[in-house]
Amino acid sequence: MSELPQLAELNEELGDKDVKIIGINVDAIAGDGAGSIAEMVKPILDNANSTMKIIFAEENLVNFIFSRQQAVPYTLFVDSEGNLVGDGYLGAKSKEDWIDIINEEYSKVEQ
Amino acid sequence: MAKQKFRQTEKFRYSMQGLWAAITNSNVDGFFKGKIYTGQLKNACVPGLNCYSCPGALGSCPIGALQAVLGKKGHWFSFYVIGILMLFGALVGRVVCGWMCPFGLFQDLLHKIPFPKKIRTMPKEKILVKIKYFILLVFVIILPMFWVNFLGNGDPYFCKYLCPAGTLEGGVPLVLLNPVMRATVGWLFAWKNLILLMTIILSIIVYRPFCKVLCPLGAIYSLFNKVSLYQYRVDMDSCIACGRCAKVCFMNVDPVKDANHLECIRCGKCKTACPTKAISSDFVQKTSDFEFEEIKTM
Repeated sequence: MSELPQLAELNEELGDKDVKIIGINVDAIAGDGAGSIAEMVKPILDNANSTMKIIFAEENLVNFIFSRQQAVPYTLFVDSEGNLVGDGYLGAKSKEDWIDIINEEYSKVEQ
Repeated sequence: MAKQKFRQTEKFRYSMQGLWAAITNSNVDGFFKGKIYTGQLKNACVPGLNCYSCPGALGSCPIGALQAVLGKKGHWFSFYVIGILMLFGALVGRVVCGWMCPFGLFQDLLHKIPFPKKIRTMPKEKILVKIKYFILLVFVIILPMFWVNFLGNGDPYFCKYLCPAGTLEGGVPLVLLNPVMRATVGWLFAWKNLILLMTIILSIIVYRPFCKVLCPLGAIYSLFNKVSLYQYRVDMDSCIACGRCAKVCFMNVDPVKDANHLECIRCGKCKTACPTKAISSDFVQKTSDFEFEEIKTM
């Protein structure tokens, strides 16, 4: 959650790169309790003038994510066909670090 | 003869500690996969300091759970966790420290390692043992409630910056077993390992330094020692004031002066040491004692 403002900004700054950041909420299974979290998240996105999408995952997706890693925040890269790229990253990072990581992962897909 | 009896009672205590640690950390699969157990049992707290993130842990750590609830926006009191702490505290007090805490056992065993000059009493120990109340108040209660991020949530600061039990049981095994987590290791992990290393070295020289000085859970249970149902008693009529009980106490308590001292972890060594069996421990006072008291005061 604490890196959300930066990710929201980053999502806009990556516009020309064909990379989108999607936030996946794992605290509330879609519908159940999602309302209060949406209320919390919306001002953060508005503040950054961001079009970043936050999705409220259904149970299967939450279970899939937790079967890979049990800690949050967990960041996964997915190519245009929906295939996972790399093993993902744990922990919040600075915008600069994310830009480096995104460049690295992006080059993997281009090859 | 007395030495042999000592060894027997201590062995019994170690085996109880070990048995309890094994039962409450029996998610063996977790140690191979580097994953923690997340089933229904995790909703409950174990009485001792046992990291939630130990791959084997079936239950939660009460100190971790307390911070998790207090650190959450809109939560000011954790009825459930405090209820569990009060239950164990009111029943047995620091029996939990002496008999049911895996990190206590860890330090007990470390202290068995020979060292040229063991330190029985730390310099200023009487003051040092008060630090744990400060840790409880500041790191477990105040900081998680008030040092919050822009969303109003606080971190579990004791777990994050101090707890060596967490490093030993959760941090190290998960980092070793989980490559993605290994990539996140930084200064904080180094700091936590330094605290763990210092705790290990100190535990060889001093008996249970973490319990004496830092443990916020021991701080909570210590407040229950005087009022718990389980009490230590010294029969002053049989006591010959030989001082053996105080001499064998590694927590540096003199049972004759105060049999239910804040620092007493109720290991029972003093009972074994007493040549006249003047020290006993039991639940609730026997009625005959009350009558006896009345006669004495009349």
